[in-house]
Amino acid sequence: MREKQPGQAESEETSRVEHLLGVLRDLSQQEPSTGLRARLSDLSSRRLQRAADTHGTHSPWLRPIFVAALLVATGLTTGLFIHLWQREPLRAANDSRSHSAETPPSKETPTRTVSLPETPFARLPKTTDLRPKSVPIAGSHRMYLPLPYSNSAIVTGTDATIRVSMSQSELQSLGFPINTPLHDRRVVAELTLGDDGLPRAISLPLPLEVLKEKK
Amino acid sequence: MKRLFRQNRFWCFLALFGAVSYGKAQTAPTIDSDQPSTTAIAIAPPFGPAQVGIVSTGGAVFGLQEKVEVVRGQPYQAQAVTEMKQTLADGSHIVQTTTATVARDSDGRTVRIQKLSKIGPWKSSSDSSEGSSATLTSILDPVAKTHIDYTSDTKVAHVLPMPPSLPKGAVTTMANGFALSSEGPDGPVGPRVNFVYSQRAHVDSPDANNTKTEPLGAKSIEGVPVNGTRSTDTIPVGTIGNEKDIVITRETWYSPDLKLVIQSTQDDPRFGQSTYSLTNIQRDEPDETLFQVPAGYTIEKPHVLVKQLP
Repeated sequence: MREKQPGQAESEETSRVEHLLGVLRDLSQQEPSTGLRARLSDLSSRRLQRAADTHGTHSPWLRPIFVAALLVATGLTTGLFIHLWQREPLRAANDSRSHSAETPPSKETPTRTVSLPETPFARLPKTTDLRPKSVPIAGSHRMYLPLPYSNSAIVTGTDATIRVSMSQSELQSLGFPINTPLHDRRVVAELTLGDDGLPRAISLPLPLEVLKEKK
Repeated sequence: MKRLFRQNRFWCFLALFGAVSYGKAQTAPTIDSDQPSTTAIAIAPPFGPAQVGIVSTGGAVFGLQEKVEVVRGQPYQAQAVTEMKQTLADGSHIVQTTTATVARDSDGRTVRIQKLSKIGPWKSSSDSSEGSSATLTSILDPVAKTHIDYTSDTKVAHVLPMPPSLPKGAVTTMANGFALSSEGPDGPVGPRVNFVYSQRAHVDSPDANNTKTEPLGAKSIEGVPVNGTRSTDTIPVGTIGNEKDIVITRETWYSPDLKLVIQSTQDDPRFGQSTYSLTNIQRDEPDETLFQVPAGYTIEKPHVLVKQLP
């Protein structure tokens, strides 16, 4: 909507005063008094002044700044959604096919087959980056952290993995960012033991498997 | 001004939400222990702060084997003693010692049998008695091309195939400590890539420039001639918020005859000192039953997933 110019508003007020005086003249059949005319003119000028004051509080630079701020906020929000979209876990877009091990079955012992998820285990680098990493493997995420205990120089091929329940405070001390530790809850973690029997890496399958302790 | 905000209330809230959410997205990811799925499994309460409860061993959580040199014709059997020593602020120490039986036969099969009462710096809360603790046995069998592990308490053995050797021309990329390897159905890698698999890999440290290696000469340990090497890694000041350089030293005594580390010491001021040494080394052929799953065990053969590329 277009704003009224000051001169145009003033002439409209003057014509409104003349209109009111005309109505009074018609009703009373006599010319309105000079005092009444002055009073109406005074009220009209006050009304004009008030409108001008109200209009003046909206500085001409405020609206463009507000619009610009909204544009920035909208851009940030859009950027946030794109950012979150890109952080979604990698989906297993590829079809999988399984190949079972061709190991001759033992005649004396019962044999059953279970599926093995691909799991991330790595040799401990010489100087370890001990910050936990989120590793997407086969459509599932896990927090993975190399540990400094095992000596990577000892290689005999007899390493192993064990699943342990660990207190949340212990996981926190290792550097896992776990919120709100509960004393009666433990988290299942996978420990990779090196060939010297010492832990080489720890990983937390996500979502966490939380165990409640027996009382 | 008030009226302006009142008229654009929705956009104000949207802007505020965007700013707050973006700020939260920039912070480190955290795991909320109240949110994840819970399993109604009761376990024994911990005896102390540094204890773990063993849920299961090996099997479906076992990673694929990395490249291990197969040594034939050099059998041995020994006790592997690992000691972890942590020094507390008052100068006192926490020492944990684990002992395992290790062996190799003339065909290159290797085995390690260790008790699960202690796992590195942690004790097992489910069985704290060294004598009655369950044992974990790991076997690498390059003849059958399998890796076997079994635990004495569950009587379940897991038999996994060793990963296929990479064909000539296969592409290997490193990511997050993995070697992602791919090959085509006819061998060469190209547009007809057939599968990709991941396996553990030795990742060269990005700080390799800060590593120094020096020879320590030759000597004999337990009657076995060994050569010594000392490597020193330095984490420069400020890298992880450290006020001074952190120096990590490793001394390794290697037998070129047995192709085996006989003794090693690793000293990291952040985590303490760990020592590994082989004792009672016997160079006879070990009992072949050490490399077999005992009778009465259930054998599980996990599948190896091979991902099909589009």
